[in-house]
Amino acid sequence: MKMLDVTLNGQIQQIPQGSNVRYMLDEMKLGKQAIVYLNGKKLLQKEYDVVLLQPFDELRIIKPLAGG
Amino acid sequence: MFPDGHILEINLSNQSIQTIDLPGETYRLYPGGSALATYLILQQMVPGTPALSPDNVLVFAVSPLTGLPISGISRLVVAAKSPLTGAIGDSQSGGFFPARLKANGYDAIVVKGKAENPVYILIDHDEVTIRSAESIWGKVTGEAEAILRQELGDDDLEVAQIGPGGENLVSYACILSMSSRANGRTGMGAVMGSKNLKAVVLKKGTRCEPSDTEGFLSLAREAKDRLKHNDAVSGLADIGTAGDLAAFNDIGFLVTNNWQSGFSGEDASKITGEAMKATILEKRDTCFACAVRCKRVVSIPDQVDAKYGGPEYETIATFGSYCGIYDLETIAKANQLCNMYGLDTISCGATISFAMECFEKGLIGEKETDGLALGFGEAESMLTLIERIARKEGAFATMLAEGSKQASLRIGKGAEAYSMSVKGEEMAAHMPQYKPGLGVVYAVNPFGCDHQSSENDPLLMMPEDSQERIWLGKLGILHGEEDSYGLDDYKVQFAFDSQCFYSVLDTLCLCQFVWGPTWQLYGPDDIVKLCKVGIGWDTSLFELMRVGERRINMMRVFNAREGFTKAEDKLPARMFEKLKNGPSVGIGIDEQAFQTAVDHYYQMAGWSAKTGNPEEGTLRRLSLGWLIQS
Ligand code: SF4
Repeated sequence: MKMLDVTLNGQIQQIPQGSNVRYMLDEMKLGKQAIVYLNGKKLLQKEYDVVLLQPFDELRIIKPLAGG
Repeated sequence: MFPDGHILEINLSNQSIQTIDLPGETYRLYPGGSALATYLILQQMVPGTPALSPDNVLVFAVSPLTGLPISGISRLVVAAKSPLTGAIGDSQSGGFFPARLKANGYDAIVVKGKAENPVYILIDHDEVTIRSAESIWGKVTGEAEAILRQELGDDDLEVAQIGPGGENLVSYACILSMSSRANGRTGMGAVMGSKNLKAVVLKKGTRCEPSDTEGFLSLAREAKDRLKHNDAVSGLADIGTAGDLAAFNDIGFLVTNNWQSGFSGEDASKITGEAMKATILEKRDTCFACAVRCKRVVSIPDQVDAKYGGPEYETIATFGSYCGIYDLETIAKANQLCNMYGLDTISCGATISFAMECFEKGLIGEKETDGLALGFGEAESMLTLIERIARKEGAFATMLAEGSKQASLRIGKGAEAYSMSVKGEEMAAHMPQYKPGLGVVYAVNPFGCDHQSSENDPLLMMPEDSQERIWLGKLGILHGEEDSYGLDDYKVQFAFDSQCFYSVLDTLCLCQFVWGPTWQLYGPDDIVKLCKVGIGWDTSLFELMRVGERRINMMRVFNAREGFTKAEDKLPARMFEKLKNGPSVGIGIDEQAFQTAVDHYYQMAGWSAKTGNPEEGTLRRLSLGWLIQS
């Protein structure tokens, strides 16, 4: 499997080529309740499944922490 | 047509029992729960009445919707003047008692006066009796419930009761049903104890039927499917409310050592919801008709009995990271003690963590603590202290039984700075430094710093096409945020409007994990629909928001009558200091910006800039003109 490097929350990570944002969310055990910045731009939820990650993409993924 | 309300009024002084019908047109303005309770208290309690006097008015309330078979619909409000704060007291719990109260035909029980000797109230539809509680007074909740079942020869009872903490008038005593579901906050258990009322016991009720069976069932049946597709609620079902504890710590906002820090380091991993699931969790439990099953039941052989449930996030934080204790078994024992003795876990844990800081800073020593070594992390001392507080055993525990604020005034020497409280109520485990909008609500909320009274700031960061933002949009909250820390007008509007919405939930007695404005299973439009198919109430989101705002304003008027002003709308000074370690190092709330936000909140709420209390025009707009005359 071909891998590529992306930066996730400041850490370099290797992921399979062709991965989308959902792949990263699954890796982080997050569902769709997450805020995703790709190269500084906040993505819409509908983009999580379609945006393919490119080499050296910078991702910031935040889980909004609520109450309880 | 709005249904009439059926209110049971009991005066324990003269043992009178009567049922009063509240006409639908009035009930619609205060449609249940906390709004109905506050309305009844405002009508019946003379201003200035001491909280523990027989003349305080204690109200148990549900709503016209309670008891209908759908998820998240069985919540009980208990309200009265609070012995902890002197302001309006208000608390919510789930379980089966609320649905059973409605199934017995009542929307509220008003309890006044004081019985000569300990009593309990037994309700079997129209048959209501006041009975001697001699055999259960002094007993912990689990034992008392077992005795009641045996004495009444009935295993199918729902019991809301106080433990020895309430009997001994601990200022933050709670009321429990199932020995595990607590009306925790603001000391309603002490008010019950002051009336010599040990328990309210309900016999089996009559099934509540929706007005539109087909429409209702179709809405109810959606719960399972919605749950499957909702990560936040299914996570809650799987891990419980402590599911975010590790994540709070990771970003430096897990209350640690009495709010001195937001970072517990690697120790936090020992007390997470996941750790609990992997170790002491016995099973999940639920409330009436709820598909979510978020409640935890833990057990430890010979030490922790499953009948006392399991610790929620707040309990894990207050007896855990607040106190520097990273041992789930100790926390489970503390939870059990509070549920046995009937103490609010938040105020109890936070008051002990306050005492720990005073001890570590040398303001008190073992002489003052009646021999207890009380530094952070002293697990045995913490457990001993919980029991002593419940029994008011010794001068030190008796002092802590009044809460951290009162204790700080007695200790003096600057101890007040270590009481992390607002209006005398200890702060729940959500850090305003991370959620300053919630911090504004902590400050202004009439019944103290409640973490379930508004929406959480970080949800504003969600993308525009998320359920969270779409539902917030229905409330007119349209502006998203790029981080959680802002305190501009948009944030204040978010705090105010979401507070009004949560106020609707506490009025209609809906569980905030199932019904809500963001991540829950059912959203704002669904609540409007529920009112229609449930009780035939053709309402709108506009009317509901008015209901929520009306409740908050009634509470604020109650407080004004008790002498409260904006002077009490203050967060502890520590919130404005910069955090000193961990990932949140350097973060603190800007005090000036916060004060401006509070002032803007008053403007948006229509409250006086001078006093912080509702303006006459606001009360008139909310059909509360009758409060101006009073
Ligand atoms: S979500 Fe949890 S607390 Fe709410 S009603 Fe369901 S089981 Fe009870």
